Amino acid sequence: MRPKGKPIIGIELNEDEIRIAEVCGSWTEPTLLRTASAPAPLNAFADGVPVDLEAVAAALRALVGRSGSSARNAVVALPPQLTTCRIVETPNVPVTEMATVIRGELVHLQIVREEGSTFDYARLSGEGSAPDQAASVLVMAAEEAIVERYATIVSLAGLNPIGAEPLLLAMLRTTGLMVRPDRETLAIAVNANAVEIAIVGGTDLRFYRRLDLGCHPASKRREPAPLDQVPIARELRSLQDERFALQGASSIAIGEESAPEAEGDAADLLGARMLALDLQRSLDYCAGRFQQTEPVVAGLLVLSDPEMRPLAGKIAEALGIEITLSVPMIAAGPSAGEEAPDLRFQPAIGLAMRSLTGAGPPLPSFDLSPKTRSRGAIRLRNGSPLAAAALSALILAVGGGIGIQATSRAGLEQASLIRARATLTQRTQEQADLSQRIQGRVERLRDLSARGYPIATVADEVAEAVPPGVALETLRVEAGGRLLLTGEAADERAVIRALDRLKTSRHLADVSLESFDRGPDRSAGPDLIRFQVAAQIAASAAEAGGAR
Amino acid sequence: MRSFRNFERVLFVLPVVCLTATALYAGIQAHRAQRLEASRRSVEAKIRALESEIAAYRALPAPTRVVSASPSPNEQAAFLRELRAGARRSGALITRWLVKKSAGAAQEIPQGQPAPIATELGVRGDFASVRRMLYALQRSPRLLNMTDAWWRRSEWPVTEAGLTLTRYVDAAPDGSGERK
Repeated sequence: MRPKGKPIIGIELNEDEIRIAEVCGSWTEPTLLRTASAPAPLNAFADGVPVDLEAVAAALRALVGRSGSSARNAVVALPPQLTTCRIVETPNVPVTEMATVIRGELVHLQIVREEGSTFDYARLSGEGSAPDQAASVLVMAAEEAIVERYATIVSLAGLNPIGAEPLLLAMLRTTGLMVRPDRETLAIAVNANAVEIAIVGGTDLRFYRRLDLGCHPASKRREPAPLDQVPIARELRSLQDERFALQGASSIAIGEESAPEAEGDAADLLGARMLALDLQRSLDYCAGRFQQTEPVVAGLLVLSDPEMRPLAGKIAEALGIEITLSVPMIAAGPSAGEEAPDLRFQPAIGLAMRSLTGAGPPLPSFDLSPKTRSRGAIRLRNGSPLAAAALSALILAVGGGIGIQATSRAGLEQASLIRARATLTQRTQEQADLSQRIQGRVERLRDLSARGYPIATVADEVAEAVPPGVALETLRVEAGGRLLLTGEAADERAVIRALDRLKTSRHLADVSLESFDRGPDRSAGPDLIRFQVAAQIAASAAEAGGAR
Repeated sequence: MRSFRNFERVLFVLPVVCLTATALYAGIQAHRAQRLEASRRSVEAKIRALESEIAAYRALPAPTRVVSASPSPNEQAAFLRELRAGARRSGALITRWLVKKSAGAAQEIPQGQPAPIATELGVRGDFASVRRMLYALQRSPRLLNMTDAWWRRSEWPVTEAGLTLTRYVDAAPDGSGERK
């Protein structure tokens, strides 16, 4: 049956070996899916810092491929020599301001630089509840450039780096399954470079500390410092008879000359003593600070080197409490093998246990990846590349769709506008033609009408103007609208009267008497006067005749 | 290290760039569509106004006077028929009908203008008949221009009148026609 939960891969990179572990499930039912290791590439690290990122990433990618893991989210371990661990006392400020206060404190204490450092923190329990009470905060810090090297390796290996966590803290997480909530427990994580301890009680993390011993409690790799140069050795000499001194080591004369073969054992014992001394101090400090709590009576030791197993017994003897060696926790998954996993995988397993769901031990999960809380920079969450690409694609699809729809609409509007403009041109032309036709017709009628004369109207006007005693003989309209009238009258007064009447005619202008004649030779007789009147047909008469 | 940091920045910036780009593109296109729609509505309003004006022109009453007739072969016969009918209704007698030839008339007619056809007309009858005949010509629905007119007494009650009657026909498309 497939375990529940999304698995993640814990990765430990050191100068000797690359180790991975894949874990999923919950704290009540954790499952180790697989562990795998491979030698680190030669010269890929310098002073514990990866320098050949591509080579390490290639080895990691090959290792993950060989292990058959399909998980992509990974947490990488930061070795203790590259991280700083401090307890910082801060005012009891709101959570939202805690990061700023801590950063200021770290910069003030010159633990980190203003820029280029990253940190994460967790508040220790049992203190700071009152508004005016200072809070103890566990802070882990590292150089941002270093952390990014590790994250780059993970990315280059085809994995998604979701966090970078201090190694020993991750190791302490593996004790989670063995911590009994009903008693105070001391958890000790030891690796080749450092020791970190935590005191947990119930669901509270009361104390956390990285021990600075000056030499390793069980180092086989480093040459121990000359005993007379180790300050704490002198103190150990005075504490030789006290209860936390190792009984098995009481016969060894510290600082005295001894056989060369015994020097290694002496160094080991010295380291163990120093560790026990520091542990006792930490226990005393906690006993003084948390007076309401039960004393620590049990401890858990987490190791990543199987050769350090005897350390458990030595610490137990020195402190007088029960020390249990923490073994990798979990029911192995189908591909992890039947036997319990090697102690070497403790850090990787501890890192991968971040994925476990449900209530776990009171140990915090740290992430020193450069992120908002430490740098103010915006960092995307897990699955960032895919999520960003998917989000971008979604935005492009939606925005592009809207844009294409708007473009289509604009295209339709443009086509409609072109058609409307063509129609407008057509209608404008039609209106102009129609208007011109009507106007032309009117003007043509006016022009042509003016070329003729309203003969009948003029004749009526003339007839009305002729008084009794006057008879018209001829009426002639010549070119240019000149009117000539000839007639006979009984006397001159009749002619003058006729002339006066004609002058009042609306359709005649320039009325004038051209001639009159009373000659004896005329056929009209001696009593009649022949006359001729000229006039000009008015332009208004011609227009009126045309318009009629 | 820097490449890793840049990679994360790209992951954040990429959607923002996409959002900005698509918003810009969609916004420009939407604005363009709105502008085009406004232009189309404006043009359509102008079209409606023009169509209303055209409809008003077309609704105008038909003209009461016709300037010219179509240059068909039957035009002269139809005109004479109208003339004779008018004379009969007036009680006058047409005594003369002569088509006047005017040399070079074709050159005087502007392009597109109707072509004039002038005829000499003689009418005889009593004063009232001739008057009615002249009024009939003057008020004819077709424009008939009267020039060079004379009217004189004859044996009482007969009067005689003569005039040049000019009618107009539309210009033939090829410029030819009955221009005399």
